Amino acid sequence: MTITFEFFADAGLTIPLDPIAASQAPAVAPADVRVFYGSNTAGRKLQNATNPGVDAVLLSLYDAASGSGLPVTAITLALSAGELDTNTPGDPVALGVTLLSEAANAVEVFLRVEGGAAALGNHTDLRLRVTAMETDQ
Amino acid sequence: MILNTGPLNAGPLNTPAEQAEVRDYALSITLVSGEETRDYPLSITLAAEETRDYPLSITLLDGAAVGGLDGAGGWPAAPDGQWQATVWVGAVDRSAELMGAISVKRAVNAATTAEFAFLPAAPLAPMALVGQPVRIAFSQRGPAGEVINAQPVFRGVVDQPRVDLPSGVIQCLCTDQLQEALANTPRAWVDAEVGGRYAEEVSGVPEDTWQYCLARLASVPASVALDVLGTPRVIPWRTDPAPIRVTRADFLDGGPTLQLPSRSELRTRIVCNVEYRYQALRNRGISSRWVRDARFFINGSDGSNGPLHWLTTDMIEGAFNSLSSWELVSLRIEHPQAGTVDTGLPGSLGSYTISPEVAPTLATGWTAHLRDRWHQTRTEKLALTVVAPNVEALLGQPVSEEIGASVTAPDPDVAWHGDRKVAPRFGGVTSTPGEADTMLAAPVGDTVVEFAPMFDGDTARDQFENAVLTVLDQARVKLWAASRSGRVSVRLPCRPDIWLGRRVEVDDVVDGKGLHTTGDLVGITHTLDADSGEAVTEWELAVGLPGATGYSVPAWTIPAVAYPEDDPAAAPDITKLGTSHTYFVGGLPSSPPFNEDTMIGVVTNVDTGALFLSEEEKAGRNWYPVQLTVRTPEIDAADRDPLDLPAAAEYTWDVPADTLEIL
Repeated sequence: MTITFEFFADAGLTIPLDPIAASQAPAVAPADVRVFYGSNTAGRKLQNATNPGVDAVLLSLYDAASGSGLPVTAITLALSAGELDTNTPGDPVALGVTLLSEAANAVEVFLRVEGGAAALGNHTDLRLRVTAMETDQ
Repeated sequence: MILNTGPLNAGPLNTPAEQAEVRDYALSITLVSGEETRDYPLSITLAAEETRDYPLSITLLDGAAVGGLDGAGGWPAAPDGQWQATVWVGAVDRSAELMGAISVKRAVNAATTAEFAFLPAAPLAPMALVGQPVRIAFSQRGPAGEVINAQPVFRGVVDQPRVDLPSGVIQCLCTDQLQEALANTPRAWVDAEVGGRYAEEVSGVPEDTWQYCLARLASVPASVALDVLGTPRVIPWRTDPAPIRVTRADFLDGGPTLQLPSRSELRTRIVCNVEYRYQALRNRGISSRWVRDARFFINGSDGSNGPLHWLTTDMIEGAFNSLSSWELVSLRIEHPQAGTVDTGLPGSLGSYTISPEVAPTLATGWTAHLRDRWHQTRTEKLALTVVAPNVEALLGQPVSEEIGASVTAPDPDVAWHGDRKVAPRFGGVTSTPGEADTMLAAPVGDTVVEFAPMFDGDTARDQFENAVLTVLDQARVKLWAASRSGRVSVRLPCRPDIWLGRRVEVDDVVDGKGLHTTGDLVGITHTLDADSGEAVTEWELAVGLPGATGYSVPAWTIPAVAYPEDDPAAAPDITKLGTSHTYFVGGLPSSPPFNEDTMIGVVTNVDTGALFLSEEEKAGRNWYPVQLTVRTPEIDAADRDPLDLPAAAEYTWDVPADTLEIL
């Protein structure tokens, strides 16, 4: 079953983000982005495929062009704005053991972008990655 | 199923001589279930692990692209004003096809709109554009036309395409879907992000979460908008920790323009009228007592006029059990003692004997408690005025507006009044009749049933108090919003990075003359000419009245109304707390004619047999029907009729003021 969970700009899961865009001026300040992960398909759930209902679904960073563009450490993931200050850049975050579809169950995700010394310009080599299985509730 | 039967008769057959006795034997048949198969369904889902990637598009900008201002002018990296727009419609980059101006207009509490036009390189169906996602970025145009330092300015959808048929140019009107996004958002998110208060009685029933969000924003000094990525953001007023400063060197076309608040917009005070209507369940207990010594009946009412016809137990019970509106709570009947009494009268009247069998049927008086209960419609009317003294001082006169709300508690169980076995019920809470009886057993005086909605803890009372706090908060926000309805507009070289809510200090004072003000950024318009590469940003700032008043959160104390039962002067007087009755004796020479309207109480006659009156003497006197009547008091109209309970309060709260100097 294909994963129907997407990233949206809003908690109502109205504005899909493809891609998730952010701009940051490394010389000025990091840029924080707030997005919502969920599915508008009714009656679905997303679980860890290895140990469903026990282990959490992980959201991780994947570099499609390692060695060029941005490193995964340019992004910090968190489930709250406060955690952006304490989480380790590049580390995955646990989204929860069971993620249910529909807006009321959307998971809020925060990203902090710190490009550091990377080249100025647009970078599209990084991805957010979820490995899981989606089933009916 | 298996049918099990036992032996019916195990004994020998009877002979005919022994058939005198007929005996029955019970037949017991038990049906038991046999072997059964039951299936228990298993639900097994086979799902494959899947990895899904979500692309990120990260643009790292030159710090200079977000620098400048404070007299340093526009974006230093684009000193020649060469900008270009990148416009994606769906999955197609239309940047090379753009024609004319691309504009993005955003304002607080409103959807951001964008307009652009393009001449498609290949034929397309304009209808297919409706609803297509749109992304717009403004960027520096490199020497070879390349995109440098692209900054997003809009994300939304095509709302309406317009086609210029002669040229084939398609103009797209786009929206960022603010209302739609908020309408789909769970209320819990709005509660957490916006805060404030909400009361249906104040704001009405919202059509959707967007309307609900606006209702909450009416009580919070904040606005809402989607940011350039489409994420809803709540923008508190006047809280930017890092204000931006702009001076004349940063402006285009001269300088800022100022529009002060209009007379129709300004308010100095808001009058909040909030009503709370409910049924008070009232209860009144009264007493009834009339007791005489037995000699009253034995010797006559004045002790010498001979025995009277007795008041009886049946008369008392009949009188009190037939009262129509009052309920008999308790009744104690006094009886004469059995025995012989020396009356002190002459002759055969000298002794009076009451047998033990007769004594309980006679009565010398009673003590009774009765009660009545009724609904009284009460309306607590609060007139609460929130005054901004600093604004009123500036204007020199009050300018007020009224807002309000009305909360009505659900009616109590209608049967409560008519059926004394029914306990009052509110909001699904029903007491048992026994509990109600305990609460209503006040002997004499007035009480109010204690779980009526006039008391704290009741759901309707909580709704009323929430409505009061909501209108007070809305009054505060109205005063502030009115005071900051002034607008300062400035035009700058394009600044895509600066978004709504930023606090901006406009210092256009040169040689001691000009405008110096501070305000929140409430409107932004970016306009880029695709042909010339010129781009302009126009800011609109909300500025308040001049002053330096900081922001404080007022504390609301809701005034209490005065309940009549708490006022001793409003208590029913003694005539309302007992029955009317006395006694009347007929057959005496002085006895007036019987009048059933005025002779309320114990009505009796002298005993004609004991007085030995002649028929002529009897005919010359007035004789009464021997009876007992009691008259219960009326409940005053003031206690029954709908009652208004007013209370008023005035709160002063200085509206935060901004720097606003015109030199």
